[in-house]
Amino acid sequence: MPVIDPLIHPPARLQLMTMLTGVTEIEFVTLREALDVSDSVLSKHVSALAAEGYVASRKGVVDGRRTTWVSLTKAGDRALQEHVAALRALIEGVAQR
Amino acid sequence: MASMNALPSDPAGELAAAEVARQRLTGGLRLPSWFHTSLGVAVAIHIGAAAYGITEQDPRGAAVALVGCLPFVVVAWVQVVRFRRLNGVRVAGFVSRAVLGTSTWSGLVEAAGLGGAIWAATEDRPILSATAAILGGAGYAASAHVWWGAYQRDPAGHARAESPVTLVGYGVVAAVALVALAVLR
Repeated sequence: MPVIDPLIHPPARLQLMTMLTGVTEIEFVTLREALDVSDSVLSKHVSALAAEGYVASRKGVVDGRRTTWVSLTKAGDRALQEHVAALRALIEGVAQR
Repeated sequence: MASMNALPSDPAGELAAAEVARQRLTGGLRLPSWFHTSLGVAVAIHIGAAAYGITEQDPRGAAVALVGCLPFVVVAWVQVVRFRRLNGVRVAGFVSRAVLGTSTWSGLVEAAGLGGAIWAATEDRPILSATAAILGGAGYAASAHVWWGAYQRDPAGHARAESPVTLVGYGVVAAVALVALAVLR
C-alpha cells in the first residue's frame, strides 16, 4: 500500500521533483524561475530533499559564472513514484465513496 | 518517515499542478538554431567518408574516414553545449538518442545510409553513394526530430539515456558490422 511521503507532501516540492523527472539536471536559476519562488525558498526545499537523498546538487560553471545543478536521485525517483501512487489511491478512494 | 497523518486536501489538484509544471518546463525547452540541418549534414559527411574509406581500404581511405568523423564530433559537442546554455538543463536522452543517434530509427537510417553508400562505392557509382549518404543524414536528422516530439509529449519517459550495457552492446554490433564489411568486401 503506497503511503504519502511528508517530505514530498508540500505542493512546491511535488512540483520540483516532478519537474526533475523530465530532465537529467537543471540549473538552480532555471528551477527557481520555473517554480516562481525565491532563492531562499528554493534553497530550503532543495536542502531538505537533498538531506533525505531525494535530490543531488553540484556546483558548476556556465559561461564563466558559478551555478548549481540539481538532479533527481534514484531514491528520489522511487519516493516520488510511491508518493504519486499514494495520491492516486487517495483520488480513487474519494471517487469510490 | 512516511505516514498517513498528513493527507493532502486536494490530491488530484496537486498532481495536476505538478504535471502542468513539468509540461511547462519541458514545453519551454528549445532546440539550438540549425540543429537538424547541422546534424544531418555532419552525418551525411560521416557516412560518405566512411563509405569511401571502407571501399578504398588504404591509408588514404582510412584517413578520409577518420577525418569524416570530425564534423559530427564538433557538431554534436557544440549543439549539446548550446542546448544546455539555451535552456539551463541537461537531458541525457537528448544527447544519447537525438544527437548521438542511439534511438532505433537513428540507428536504422544511419546503417541503411552507410550500407547503401558502401555498396554504391564498391560498384563505382559515386553519385549514388553520395545520394545514400545525404539520405542517411536527412533520415538521421528526421529521427532526431521524431525523438524530440516524443520527448515533448512524454518527457519523463524519454529524458533518460540508455544504460551503459545497452550502449556497449550497440558498440559491439557496430564494430562487428564494420569488421564484416571489411572482410567480406
